[in-house]
Amino acid sequence: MWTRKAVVYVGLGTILVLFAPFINNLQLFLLGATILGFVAVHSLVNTRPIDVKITRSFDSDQVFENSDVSIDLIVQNKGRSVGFLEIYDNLPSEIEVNNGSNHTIIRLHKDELVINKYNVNCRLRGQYRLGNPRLRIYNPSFLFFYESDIQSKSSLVVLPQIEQIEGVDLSTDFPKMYQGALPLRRIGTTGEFYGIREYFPGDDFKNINWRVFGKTRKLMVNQFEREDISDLMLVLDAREISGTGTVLRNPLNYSCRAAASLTSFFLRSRNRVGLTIYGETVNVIPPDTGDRHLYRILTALAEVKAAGSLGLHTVLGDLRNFTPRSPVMVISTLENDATCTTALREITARGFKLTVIAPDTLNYDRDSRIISPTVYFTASASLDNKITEARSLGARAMRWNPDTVLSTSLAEVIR
Amino acid sequence: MNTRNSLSLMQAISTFSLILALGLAYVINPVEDSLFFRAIDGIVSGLYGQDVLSELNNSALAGILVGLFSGTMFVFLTINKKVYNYTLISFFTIIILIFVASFRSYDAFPYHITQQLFIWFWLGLPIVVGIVGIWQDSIGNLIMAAFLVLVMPLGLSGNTNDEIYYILGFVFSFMLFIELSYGHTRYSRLARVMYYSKEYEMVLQWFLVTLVVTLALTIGLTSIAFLFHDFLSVLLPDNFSNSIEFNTIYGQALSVLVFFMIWAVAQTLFSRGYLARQVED
Repeated sequence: MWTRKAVVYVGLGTILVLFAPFINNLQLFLLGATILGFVAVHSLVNTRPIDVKITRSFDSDQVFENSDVSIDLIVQNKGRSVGFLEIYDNLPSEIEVNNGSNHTIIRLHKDELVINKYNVNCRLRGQYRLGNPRLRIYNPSFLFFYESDIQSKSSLVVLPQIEQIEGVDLSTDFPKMYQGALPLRRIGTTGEFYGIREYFPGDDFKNINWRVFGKTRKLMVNQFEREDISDLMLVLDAREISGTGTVLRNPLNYSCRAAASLTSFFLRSRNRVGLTIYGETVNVIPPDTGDRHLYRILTALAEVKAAGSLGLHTVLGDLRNFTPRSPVMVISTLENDATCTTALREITARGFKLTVIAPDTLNYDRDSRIISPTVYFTASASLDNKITEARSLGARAMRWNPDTVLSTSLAEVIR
Repeated sequence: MNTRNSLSLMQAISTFSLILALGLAYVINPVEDSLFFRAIDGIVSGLYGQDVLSELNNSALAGILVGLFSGTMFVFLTINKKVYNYTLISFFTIIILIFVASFRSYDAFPYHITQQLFIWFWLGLPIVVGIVGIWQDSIGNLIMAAFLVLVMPLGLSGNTNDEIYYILGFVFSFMLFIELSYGHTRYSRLARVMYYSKEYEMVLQWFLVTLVVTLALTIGLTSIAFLFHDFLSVLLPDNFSNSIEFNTIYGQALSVLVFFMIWAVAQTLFSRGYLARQVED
């Protein structure tokens, strides 16, 4: 391909050669001929096709959000020597280079191998395809160039960030009494002694630790380990509206992080966790346990995209087969969902222990001027109404500001 | 040598080439013959009622020095925006005062000195513009400087083969100026992007070496293009090769163009062959 410079050179050279005779000017004539000669010589320098093999390797092809990944772009020359080789590794916009660069210019000798190292920060969950690297060869004076894409694609899975949740009892009042249930190192009502805490009105008198009271003159109650495991279903709202906001800060991303954190928390406690995602379609991952199941859910969460407008009522059919009286956690802003009240009523009517977590990015959206103050007040009031409605149905509902720790917010609702 | 040194060397050689090109251009085309300076002479004579060029004598060198000084001053001044603004205002105020004083027939200003400086400034204008282009990476200035170097000394008297060495020197230094200054603009921009790269210096060295080699090859190819004219004279029928048109500079121009056309056709065919081979793979 010719660059603009080459076109200008050829044009200027031709004009000088043709114009110079009219004023009998040998100087301009020679200059024109030399310019044409220069372009002609340069058409042979570093313009022939090359044979370069490019491979990419990661230190890890599955990472959590906000993690760094080191990428090695291995460039192997199998053809002629290349003087000016520009390599640009195509990266998705969600991935940010934080050390080194995905763009490099090198000189490659015959059979030489060069490794371009750079680090990327994966700020957003997702399943990404990296590549193909784009090659551009310039001749030294930028008169000609040649571009091509090299087939070298790699996939990188960025899983949602997991927040450690501790000391929150979200499980059922009706545990599944599996044979050989293992005691969990969590606070409950039966089992082994766990610790003591301050007395609150409503605590059972029989749990008061009188020995401690005798020593300290403070009412303290004993706490015991809990011995149960339960099935738990997470319902995630992936409708198009949940993607409102910026690429990084929108309800869907925060919902995915909350779902990942809760899944990890419950699976660690040997519960069985299922996931239902609704938006464009309804995808159900049946309850199961173990590390492989955690990975399956995290991968599903990584792939979730905001699309569709199915209401919450669409998940009712799948919940019908779910273990009765088990906890159901709906993670949704419940915005623009006319069916949500009916659906929440239906869920509580079936005896599921319902928790509603509504990720609230409205403050951020208003501060960033994504929404106007009027829209903010309307949306905020609407969300408050939905939360109140859910609470009136007996659900534990909360408006979660993603800037605060999830477990702290949950503890306030569960208390 | 590191990247910064190589880039500075490119700028220095480019500046020197520009000065040499302008100097040789004035040697090849005397200032008295220049259409541009005749026009200026006309304007100044009209204003002051005095022939300027006859008093210039061999002022080309002084003009180059003034241009070099002005260009360098400009580059340094632009480092500090405030100083630059004040200097520019002062400069224009002085110029306006000189003109006002001249029109009001006030002789406090040394009339001849300002007039001489004015002409010298015009003589060195391509260098002023070029230096700014080279040291501030402005492609617009480079194009303007190249244009002024070609156009300002241009006269109607033409030149002969007696001046061939000066002409060759001019062509070589002009090409060096253009290539190094444009190359510096591009490579320094890439160097800023590639600040972390250790391999980039090798690319820069490759450019410098290739430039020297290709300039040498260009001279060779241009000579072949001129020899092609003689080859054509052997090849073509006598009534054509012995014609007046063919044996003047017009004939040479056409021969050169035919040579490069053949070159382009051959290369296109060669490239097509390559593409076809690639498709077969």
